[in-house]
Amino acid sequence: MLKNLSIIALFVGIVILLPYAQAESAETCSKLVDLHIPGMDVEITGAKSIPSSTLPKSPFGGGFSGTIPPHCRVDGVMEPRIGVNDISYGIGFAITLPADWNGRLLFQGGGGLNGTVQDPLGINASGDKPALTRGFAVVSTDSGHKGKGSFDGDFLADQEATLNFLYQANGKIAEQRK
Amino acid sequence: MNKWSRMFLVPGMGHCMGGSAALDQFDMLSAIVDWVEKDKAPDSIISTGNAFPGRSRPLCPYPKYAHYKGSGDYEKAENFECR
Repeated sequence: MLKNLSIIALFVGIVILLPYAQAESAETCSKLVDLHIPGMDVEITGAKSIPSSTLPKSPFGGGFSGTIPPHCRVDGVMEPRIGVNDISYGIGFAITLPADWNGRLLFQGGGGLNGTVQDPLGINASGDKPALTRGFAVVSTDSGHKGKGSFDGDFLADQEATLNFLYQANGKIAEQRK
Repeated sequence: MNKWSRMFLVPGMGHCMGGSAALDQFDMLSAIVDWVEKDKAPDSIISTGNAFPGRSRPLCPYPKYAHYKGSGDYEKAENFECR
């Protein structure tokens, strides 16, 4: 199920990201902070142009080659709300839009029970070339809750947070990409 | 199911990476791109890793696994086949 949604996200994302593929100028990028999407409860919390930089150390066998290309990083939260026990919830996300976009989108997974927006670099199963270095746009989400670690299950007390974690967050984030 | 889904098990690998006997570096991203865009499904994916420097092996779609072909350098993936 999760995998199917990710694949759908891939196709949906490829189509609807197109307008932002040219977001290479720092000015165009920072303007995305004011983006409002009619009919969607999304708050953009940051949009920043990031110059070319070195990759973090690879956790895998042979290391990475190449560098992180110049890109626009947009951070935000979907459907922010107060949930069970007065805890703030929302689907946190980050997306990296490379200046030289190859027209593809990778929807990155989270680890354990998630709860953190990991850097959208697309390092898993990508050999020595993370997806972002290849020109993919990469999306990462916290699956709808903030965790005190990747095995913090407290959010299960909140039904919507649980449903988001189980599957909804992927579809919601994919749709939000327009 | 083989037409739209293939499962590659990585012998010895821990959760996502590592493992004392794992070849945990492999490129599945190129494989999925070829599958989606060129309709070329992956029959094997080469893996390498720090656990065994200089060694490469094909990862195989379940239930196939890598078999030594019987001749050639056993450190090289090309001398193994998925069956």
